[in-house]
Amino acid sequence: MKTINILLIIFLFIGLGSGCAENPNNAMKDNGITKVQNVSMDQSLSNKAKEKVTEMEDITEAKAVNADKELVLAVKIKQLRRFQIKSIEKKVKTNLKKWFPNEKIEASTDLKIFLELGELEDKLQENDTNPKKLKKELQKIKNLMKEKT
Amino acid sequence: MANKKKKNLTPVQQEYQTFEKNRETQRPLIKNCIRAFLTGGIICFIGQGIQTLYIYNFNFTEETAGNPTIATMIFISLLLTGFGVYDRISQFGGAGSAVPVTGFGNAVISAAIEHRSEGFVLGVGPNMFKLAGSVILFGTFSAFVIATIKTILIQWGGL
Repeated sequence: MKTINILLIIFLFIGLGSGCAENPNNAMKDNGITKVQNVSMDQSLSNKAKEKVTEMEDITEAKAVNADKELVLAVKIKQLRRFQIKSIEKKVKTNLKKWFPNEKIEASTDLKIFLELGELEDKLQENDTNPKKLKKELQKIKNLMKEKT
Repeated sequence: MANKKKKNLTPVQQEYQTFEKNRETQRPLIKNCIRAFLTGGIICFIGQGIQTLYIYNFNFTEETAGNPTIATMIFISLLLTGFGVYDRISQFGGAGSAVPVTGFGNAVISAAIEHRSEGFVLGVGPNMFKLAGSVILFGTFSAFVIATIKTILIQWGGL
């Protein structure tokens, strides 16, 4: 019985410790975004969108990739604000539509989309892709966004 | 119901009841609550870990990762019940181990193990959902009621 109690206390402290530790990756980036530079596939639109979105309240990080005028964007929001995740997502979408009325924009708060877009950003940064591949990957991410249980 | 029963008791019986009540060992309510909180929390922590694993390593989004996570949690509780570990966890955690989906898995598989001796068709099959059956029935029914309320609020209330 005693060992169980001790184990529980240890678990509690591990949980608290890992929860309160600050993410070291954040320090390396500028305001939670990485500005992607690519010569053949212009990413200035997504860079601009990321900058504007991270200026919004409650949003900590943003990843975005665009192929021509098609933009896919994913955001990370403050942990305690996740209770209002639906309304924040809606706000991001309406704001994006207001800022970029001529572009086709999809936004998400899903972690998977965020991860996939991050991978794609890295590929673009290292010049490891071509426009055809980029379009295909973006379509894949868009399909993933539409998936329902 | 309890009050009605009490009124029909003879004075001696009533006297005995008060006598018994004073000597009854008190349930450690707060201790039980803390135990349930910790047990349930640890189970959910493990579940969250599995969900994150699915999101990072497979092609699941936050929304679709729920199903395989539940299946994995039920499978784990099934193994733990078979090995007799889940009983101990339940004894320690009480409701904390019964309310998460692992409790549902435990209810199914323990009934299946119990009635194994009566054969598969007449034993395991019908008895497997003895307790889980009510969970499914009332779960579906309450989902229906909540969905009806939501629909009414959205259609007429303009929510």
